[in-house]
Amino acid sequence: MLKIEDLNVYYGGIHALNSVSVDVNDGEIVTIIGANGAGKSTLLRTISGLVRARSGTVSFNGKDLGKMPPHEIVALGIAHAPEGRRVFSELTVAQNLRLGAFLRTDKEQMEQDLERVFRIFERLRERREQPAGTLSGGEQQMLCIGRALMSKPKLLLLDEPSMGLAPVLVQEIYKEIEEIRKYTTILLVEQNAYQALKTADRGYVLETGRIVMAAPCSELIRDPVIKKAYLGK
Amino acid sequence: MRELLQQLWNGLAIGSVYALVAVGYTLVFGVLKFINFAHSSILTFGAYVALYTMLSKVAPFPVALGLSMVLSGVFAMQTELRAFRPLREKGAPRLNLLITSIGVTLLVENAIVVFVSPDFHVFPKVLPGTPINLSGVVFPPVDLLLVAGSSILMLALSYFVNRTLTGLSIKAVALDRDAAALMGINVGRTISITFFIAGLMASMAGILVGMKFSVNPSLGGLFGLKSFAASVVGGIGSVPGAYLGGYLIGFLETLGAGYVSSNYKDAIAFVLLVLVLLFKPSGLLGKGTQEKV
Repeated sequence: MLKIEDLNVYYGGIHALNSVSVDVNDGEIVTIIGANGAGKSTLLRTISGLVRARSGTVSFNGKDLGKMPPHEIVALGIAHAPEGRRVFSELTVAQNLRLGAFLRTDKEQMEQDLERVFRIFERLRERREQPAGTLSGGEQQMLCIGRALMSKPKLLLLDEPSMGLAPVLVQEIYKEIEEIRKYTTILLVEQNAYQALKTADRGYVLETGRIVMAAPCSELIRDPVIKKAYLGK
Repeated sequence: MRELLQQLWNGLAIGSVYALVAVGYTLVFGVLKFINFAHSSILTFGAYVALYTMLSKVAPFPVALGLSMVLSGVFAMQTELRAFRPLREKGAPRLNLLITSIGVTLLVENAIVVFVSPDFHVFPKVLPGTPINLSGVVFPPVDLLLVAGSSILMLALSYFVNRTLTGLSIKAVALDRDAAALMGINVGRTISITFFIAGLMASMAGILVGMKFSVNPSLGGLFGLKSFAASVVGGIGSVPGAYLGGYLIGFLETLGAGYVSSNYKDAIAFVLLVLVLLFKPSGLLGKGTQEKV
């Protein structure tokens, strides 16, 4: 459903993505692992239209995303839970979730989806009238993912859902990602390679802007190079 | 006592002007994070549209008021589309936006001098002439209209910002533009709407100030500056802060003029601005801003 071909992105003079090609098929979880600064977030930001590519194509179900503004890309069914959560801190949890469904008009279906988000992330339900800025880091991450789900995406882009969270919370978030995959295809970007490879179907390894390896996760997790560089074994 | 009540009423009336204009500075600052000095020229523009509609006798006052508000909103939107947006898209620093906004003000003022008239105009009489006199306290009709009109606009704005999805999207764009775009919010359109509302409110202030005093090409200058002071005093970015700052400056100014000396009337707003910046730099209702990385 998502096809990225030969993508080149520059930040000033820095070649942030160097002829990157990635495919995501319907129903999959695909992960991109790599160190800090490898270009993972840049890749997601390019898909969402926040960053423009210098060359190469990004297409979603056959539509070229290259010149579309971010809000049109959301309308096609791509939701992005960005790095650092980026929740609207002064707005309540409920308002954040409402904004996630900004483009939707199907009130009844939205209510059901809201209920589903609260079922997945029970803690958000208790805090729905609380400003998002008063939530803990883990709760903000849940809100960030929940907010993205509220657009009823066909493809969910998750940027480092484990960042800055205690191991027990990382476990919890990943347990919910297993639940979320029932509803949507996921492109997951992670520094926490172990969690990502355990969860996803296929993986790509990104190093300083280049894809250096692409394989099913079951293979990557056993690969000696990956083990040494990313899994610390 | 009677004098005090009269001064308080005068303060409320002029404070309504500052509040109406200050809210425009604050809304635009919210979404774009720069002080739009062109905002004061919208006030002048609005006064002239209403003045010439009335002078040409093509429409009654309520229509002239409505027309001026809509055209001023569109004009404010156009300043953003034609002057500020191209700069933003090129990634220009905010200082360039600020300088451009001062340029827009000069352009509007001088265009009026060249193409319309450099003279002071008295607004045609549209309201019943006799002020209402309640046991010695005088309520001129234009002041009543000013207080009522600004209250209605402020309530409407509060409803719009706090209770509608479009209002919520303005808040979202103000808090985090990229995250707002990822929600499917059309950021450019939201910014346009914000300028439209700011222009609409400034126009009402401009027309009523024009009726209260006179209409001239630099009408917006001092009112604009004091309203800017009001928005900073109240806490720039905060809508209730802009109202508070506007009324506060209105009251202090008339009380100062009444009980101290009218020579210092115009200085009071700026003295207050300096004091607030010294003791609470984020403004009375403003939240301290943290630079985000």
